[in-house]
Amino acid sequence: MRWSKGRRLEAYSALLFILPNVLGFAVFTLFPVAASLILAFFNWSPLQGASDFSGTSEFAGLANFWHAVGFHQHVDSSWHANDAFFWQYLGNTVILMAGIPFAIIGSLFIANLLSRKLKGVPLFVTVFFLPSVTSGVATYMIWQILLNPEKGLINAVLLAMGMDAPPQWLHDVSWAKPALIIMGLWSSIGGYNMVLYLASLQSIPQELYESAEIDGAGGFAKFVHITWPMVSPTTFFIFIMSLIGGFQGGFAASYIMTKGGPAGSTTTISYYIYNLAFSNFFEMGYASAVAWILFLITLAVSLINWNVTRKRVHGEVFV
Amino acid sequence: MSGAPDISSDETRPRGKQPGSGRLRTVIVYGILVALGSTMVLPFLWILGAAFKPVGEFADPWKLFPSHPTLDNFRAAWNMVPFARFFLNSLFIAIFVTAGSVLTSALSGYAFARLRFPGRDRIFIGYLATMMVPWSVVMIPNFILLKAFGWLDSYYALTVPALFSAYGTFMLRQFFLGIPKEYEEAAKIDGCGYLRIFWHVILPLSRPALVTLALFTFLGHWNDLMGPLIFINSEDKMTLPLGLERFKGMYSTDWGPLMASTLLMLIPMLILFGIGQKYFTKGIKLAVDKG
Amino acid sequence: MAILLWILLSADAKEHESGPVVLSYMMWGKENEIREMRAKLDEFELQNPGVKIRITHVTGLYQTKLATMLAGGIGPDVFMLHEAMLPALAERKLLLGLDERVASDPDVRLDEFFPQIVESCRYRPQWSNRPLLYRLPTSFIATVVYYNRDQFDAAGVPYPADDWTWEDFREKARRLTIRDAKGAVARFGCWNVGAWLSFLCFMWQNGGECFDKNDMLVIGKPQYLDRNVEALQFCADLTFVDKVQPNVAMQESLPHNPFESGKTAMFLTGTWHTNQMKDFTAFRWAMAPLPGRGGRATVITCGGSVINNQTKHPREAWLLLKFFTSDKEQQAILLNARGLPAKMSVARQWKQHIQGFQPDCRMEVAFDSLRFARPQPRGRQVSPLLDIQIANEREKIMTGTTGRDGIREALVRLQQTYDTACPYCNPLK
Repeated sequence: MRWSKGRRLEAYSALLFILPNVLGFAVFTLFPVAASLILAFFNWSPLQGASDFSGTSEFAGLANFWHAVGFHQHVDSSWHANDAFFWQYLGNTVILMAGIPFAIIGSLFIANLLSRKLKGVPLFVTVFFLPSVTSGVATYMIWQILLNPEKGLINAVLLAMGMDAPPQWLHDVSWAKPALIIMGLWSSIGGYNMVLYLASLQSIPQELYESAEIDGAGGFAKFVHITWPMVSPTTFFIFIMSLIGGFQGGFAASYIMTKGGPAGSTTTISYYIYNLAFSNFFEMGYASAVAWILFLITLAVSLINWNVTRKRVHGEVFV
Repeated sequence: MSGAPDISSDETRPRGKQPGSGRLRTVIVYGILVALGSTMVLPFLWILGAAFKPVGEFADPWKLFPSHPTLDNFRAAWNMVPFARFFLNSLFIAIFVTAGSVLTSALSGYAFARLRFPGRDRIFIGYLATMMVPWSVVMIPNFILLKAFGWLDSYYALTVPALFSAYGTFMLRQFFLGIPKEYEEAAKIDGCGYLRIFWHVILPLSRPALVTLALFTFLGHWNDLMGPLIFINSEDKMTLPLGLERFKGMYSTDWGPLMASTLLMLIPMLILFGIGQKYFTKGIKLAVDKG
Repeated sequence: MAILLWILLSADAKEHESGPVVLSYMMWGKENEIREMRAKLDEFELQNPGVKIRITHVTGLYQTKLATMLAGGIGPDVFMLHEAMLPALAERKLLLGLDERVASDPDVRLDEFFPQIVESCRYRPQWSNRPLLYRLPTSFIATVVYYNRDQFDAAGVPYPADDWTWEDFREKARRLTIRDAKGAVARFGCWNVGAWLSFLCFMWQNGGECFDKNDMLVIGKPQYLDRNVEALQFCADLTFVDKVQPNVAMQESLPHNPFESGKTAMFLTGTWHTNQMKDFTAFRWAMAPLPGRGGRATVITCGGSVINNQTKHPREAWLLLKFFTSDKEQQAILLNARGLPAKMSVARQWKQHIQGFQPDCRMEVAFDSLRFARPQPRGRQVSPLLDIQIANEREKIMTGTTGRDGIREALVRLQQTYDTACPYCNPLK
């Protein structure tokens, strides 16, 4: 053994530390994930007598994957996507993520305001956190009413401000997505991310600011040279989580507010997966394949993001 | 719930160490906070008002509060579903899962952040990767797994799998990385083992992160709709979010009772947040006092 | 490996049970419906000692729950099922075909039921060469027009005749619509003509067609296109040209019971709505058949529970289905009026059983409509992609995205996508 006694002790202790989590992780996460990967290669749906995976139907190879991303040529030699919905919904998913940068900047902005030497900060933290505390389902229903073009508060305000024909919001193919983005901003800007930023901001040593002040740095300079770099691990974390959340997201809000409509304009990939597997069709094999394609996309984007940002993030963030 | 009066009184009160030039800035900051804050509160006030509205008063968007407040909605909600039972079930599950999963996440997060062991980074990447797998596909395998364990329609199904959180591990690892190593070195020199360092040095230093994670976890499970829907059949193990679904019929929704029970559902979250908030703001206060 | 082993071992562990047979019954519905059902099942248990029934009540997301349970091999023995889900389940052999049981059970005579309804309880899966019976005809729902007699009288509009036409319908809707000084609509003439089922009925009435006999889409084929476009244009015009029907945004903002609250004078919907109306006294109401145009048509949906193909107690499950078709239960269906009884003998006596309803509500309309009723075409549910496409195009029409001239394009587009769908690489077809 080349390792010193100390190193070995460290490794054994580490094993004990991670054991509970890793064990549970293996059983309740890794196994189902692996099972779903296997499903993706079959035309599996719950079949007669199949009380577990023993009843899987025929092996489909890569057909499920090919059906999602591939194209075919019709007899009239025109080209068509095998599954035009996959592309449409992937587009929807990406467009709905347009709010992420605004949400991050907004969270940091508010956290920054709230970490000033002001009275009433606890009250404001509570107020900003309220949207995330309210049950998701309840929030969506409230917004559905607020966004109603005829009787909702939002258009009532727009009309009062002199707008002639305010948008039809959730009932308009081109306004439904912006409506969901606005709601997303509202519910996330003061939520978890703001609290993470608050925790992160308060761990910045005060001395850094003091010495910067001695050097004559203004507020903006302090933000750029101290705050931003010091919170960069948090930003990175939030960004990665938002991306993952964005790629997987959109189900609950769309399900409650628009049922994915109008005309599929708010259906995201995860909603599609849900529809395929659970709503009338039971295409579990194909749903798994689409889910794994989504996973690969998420992974690729995260990896690119990681490699690009790693060098700019303060401290030891990743491996 | 309007915060405006408190704030203005705060503002007009003479502040000890406020330099004259900062005064305008303070006013601007408050202005922004109040403007943004009211946007945040408005829909919440709307539920508050709606919960007390009699049937006829839902239609008018400008009317925040009812002219004839009534408790009928609460009564209806209470009578329509076994509210107390659902509430206690939700509470038990959320508290148990929160305590358990924060502990396992902290333990593993510490190991991933600080201890060196073979395969550490590979396992960690595995954790990260599974967070990207959409939940809807793991649902069926999970169901089959829990069925094999004989855990369907039991509290186990809603608690045990939730005790091991990849997200929590990731989040706490990130936080532990930010704790200066000097603290541990000092403890190590004093001859502390890893467990003691973890318990007496790392955990106390990480209180804000632990509380934040606890809050997220609690919220997630308190609001969880899919888990109970899939795994629970009997009424006496049902949870509150699923109970709320009952107010939404096939063709119509009982808005009044729905809003009333949504309001009741908010209470534990607000209490928990009230408790946790001390930790979020303690540090801020410290900074203020130092300044 | 150990886990896999465990799964295999535990799958058949619970074979030996003694005592009464426990059937699980899964249903949706509100609290009062659960109580009604429990009372019924209690009676069933009395009649059939040795069988106990456990209700699993699902609130919201019924399909999700059902899909997971079936996938996990612990589906309920007997369950309620949305018509839209039946093809997917039947194709996967998850439902018990009832033909053999019917043939061997002298108690059940299918000729006691309305033939159209028996027809709509059948479905031909792709693996079968003939249609199979999946439900015992219990109740049915036909699409009709409910109208507010008081509002008709006040506006001096004559009640709909049984042979009324589209033009009559539009004319009455116009005259019944009330606008305030600003032009905002205070009361609509009609409601819900933009739903998929009413689209279907209007296409049929006009001699159009959506699916052919083999469940293939023909909505945009040249022989039907003009007629289909004309029908959908009529429906859309009620909203966008005549403005006698609310658009989707208005619908959402109005109370959830627009007809009962007097916001619309006519309401086009399924006869399940009688359940909402039966104890209603605020105004006088009645039913009329759907208006016609050359042809007459309406769509019927068959109610009734289905049996899980994996059930361990097919005999008891069959007893339960039979129980739902007994004369007494058929009369109960008349009384709560969520559907209409499928048994002709009971249906003929409807007047004796619905005392307490408004006497002149013209329930006979629902039974008379059976003459020209057709079951819901199943072609739509066979392919998820097609189902989504149809839903999307319908939404585009009813949100005004297509515009008046865009309806033809929408149907052509639908047909084109269907015809050019990859025939060999589609795992969903």
